[in-house]
Amino acid sequence: MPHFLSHAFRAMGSPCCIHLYAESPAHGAEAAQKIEAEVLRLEQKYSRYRDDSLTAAINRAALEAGSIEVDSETAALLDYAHTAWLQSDGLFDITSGLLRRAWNFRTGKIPSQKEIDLLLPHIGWGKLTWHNPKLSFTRRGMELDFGGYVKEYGADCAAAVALQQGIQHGLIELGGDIRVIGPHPDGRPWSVGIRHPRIAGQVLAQIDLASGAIASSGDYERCIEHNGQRYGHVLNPHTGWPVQGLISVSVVADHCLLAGSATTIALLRGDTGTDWLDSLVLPWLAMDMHGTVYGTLAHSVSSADA
Amino acid sequence: MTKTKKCNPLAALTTAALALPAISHLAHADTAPVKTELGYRYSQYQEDDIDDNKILIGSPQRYEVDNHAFRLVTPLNAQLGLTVDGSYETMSGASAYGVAADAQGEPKMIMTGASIDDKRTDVSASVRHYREAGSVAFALGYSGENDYTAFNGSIEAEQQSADRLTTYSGGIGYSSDELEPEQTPGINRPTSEDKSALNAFIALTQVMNAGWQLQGGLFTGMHDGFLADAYKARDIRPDQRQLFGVMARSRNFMPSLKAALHTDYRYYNDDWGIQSHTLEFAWHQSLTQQLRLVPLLRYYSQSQADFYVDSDSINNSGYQSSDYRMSPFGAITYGLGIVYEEAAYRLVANVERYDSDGDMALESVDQENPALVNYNLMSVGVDYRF
Repeated sequence: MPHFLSHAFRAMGSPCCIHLYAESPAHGAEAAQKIEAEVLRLEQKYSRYRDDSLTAAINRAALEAGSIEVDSETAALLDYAHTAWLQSDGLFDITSGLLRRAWNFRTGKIPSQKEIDLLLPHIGWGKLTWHNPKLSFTRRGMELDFGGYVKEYGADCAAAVALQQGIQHGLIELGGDIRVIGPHPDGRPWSVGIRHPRIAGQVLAQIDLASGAIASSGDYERCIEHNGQRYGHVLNPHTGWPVQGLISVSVVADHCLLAGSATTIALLRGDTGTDWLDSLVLPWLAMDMHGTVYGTLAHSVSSADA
Repeated sequence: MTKTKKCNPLAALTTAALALPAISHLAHADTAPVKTELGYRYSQYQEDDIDDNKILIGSPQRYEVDNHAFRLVTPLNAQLGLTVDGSYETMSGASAYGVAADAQGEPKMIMTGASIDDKRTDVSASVRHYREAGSVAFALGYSGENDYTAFNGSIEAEQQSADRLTTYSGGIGYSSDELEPEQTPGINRPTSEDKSALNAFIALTQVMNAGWQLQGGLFTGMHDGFLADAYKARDIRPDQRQLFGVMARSRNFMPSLKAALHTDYRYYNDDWGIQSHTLEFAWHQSLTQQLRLVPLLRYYSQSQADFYVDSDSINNSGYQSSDYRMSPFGAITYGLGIVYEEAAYRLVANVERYDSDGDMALESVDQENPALVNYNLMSVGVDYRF
């Protein structure tokens, strides 16, 4: 009889949880420990809050308009960022984290256009040179932030570690992004709830997943309300202002990294995000600011909200 | 900065994502088994009867082999895995005694009159030690027939690079064989002979991109001792054989088709003058999560050994052999496999058809060996994990 285990921990600024079926409590505990260690490895490597992280080393080079050689995992992540940047017409941009200097979602202050204008010249993936394995900054004061996709990548890495540990049934959840290791031992899918972007504690839709991943994002995660206007945390790197249009997007894909970037790019595209989601041919669900629900998963929406 | 053509966004993102070690299907480190697996295969090998017009003396019936193979894979601890293989087979049929020219000068076969019945037992065990990004395996084996005993041992190692995209592997093996041919009154056969073989290989496997893995390798071998066929009338071969070869393998994964194309090529060359080429394509198509279909096509062509003769003759001196394995020929294999896989078990079934012919060789063959084999191979099996 498989032994079920849930293990909660905190990483990458989010609550995380591993649910898995193992052969024994000891096997489960060992697997959970190794999965958590993998997530913590990525946090340590890519955290922008730690001086000893690779991100910090890259940003020290960026500060002086220098260059740095990176390892192959980071190189693949940079290649991925480049692809996402191209595919999103420059909206998915890992140099846009600099805008956080103007947008502080904790204090709730709306920045002035002048503050934003000071930052914009230092933002733009196209302004740096990436020749694997060398990353070169041609202007001072740029900054890289892997935070936009490393959590989703972490869910995929965690699932790979789980499989290596002989775990075939389970689910990894890193701050709302979910990667399924495999269905319940009897083959039943996991039932994943998508939170309602406006009604706290309520589920917008229930999705059955036997494999693959689902990522969700929206303006409910972090935002500033000012004079009746809602400013979400998803910032357009071209204007420096929060995007308007969709307030919640969820995408299902084989890998959490793909689901996550599809979600982010859809939000960044604003009103045309739903067209873009249609073009991907992946299952998706979105809600706009008027509460209208779109997407191929709309049938999964609880009837009260449909 | 590389420019990626902006076409299908999902395909572009998937391709980029698959270069990441944790996401790539290709770059998973070999890890110690965590479960015990027991496997069984039954296979039946049946050579076609020989055309009557190719036989001078004897029965047209050829070999038929029934094979039962067992495998156990089990973890010994977190770093050690044990694999034990055993097989038992029974062979029956007639084998070629020699090739003689008929009245028109055409080579014709002389088959052993009586049916050969033989049994063969193989046992081998290997222990593999898994480390962070590599493994080392030691194996020992025994093989025995009525007239034949062989012992072998090997060591193999594999190491992945830090980025897990490159794997280096290599191995060396030695076998020592003893032959005590069964005697038939009136036929002069050697009573006891032995031979040994030393083989080695090195290979490099590289994840080229998201869905493509390439492997290249070299192999070599040195065989020493009695290397002829003791049951043939006049089969005199050198007592050394040095071989060298190159292999290349490609694995293309096509997630959108839920399929993978395996392409294998092998070049072989030895100092007996034989060169051969093998090219194989296997298409692994997933139909459902559990069910996979694997059609296969293999082409083989070899040139003849320097001492190959169309027919046996006491007038020949020095090295000589009319064995079809020393002759020039080409062959095509068609196969189909079905795999049904659940978490706890796997069911497999395969059929293969092999046809060989002088006309299928890459180089033109003047005189085809009459003993060239055509066969059907069928196998079924089950693996159980617990």
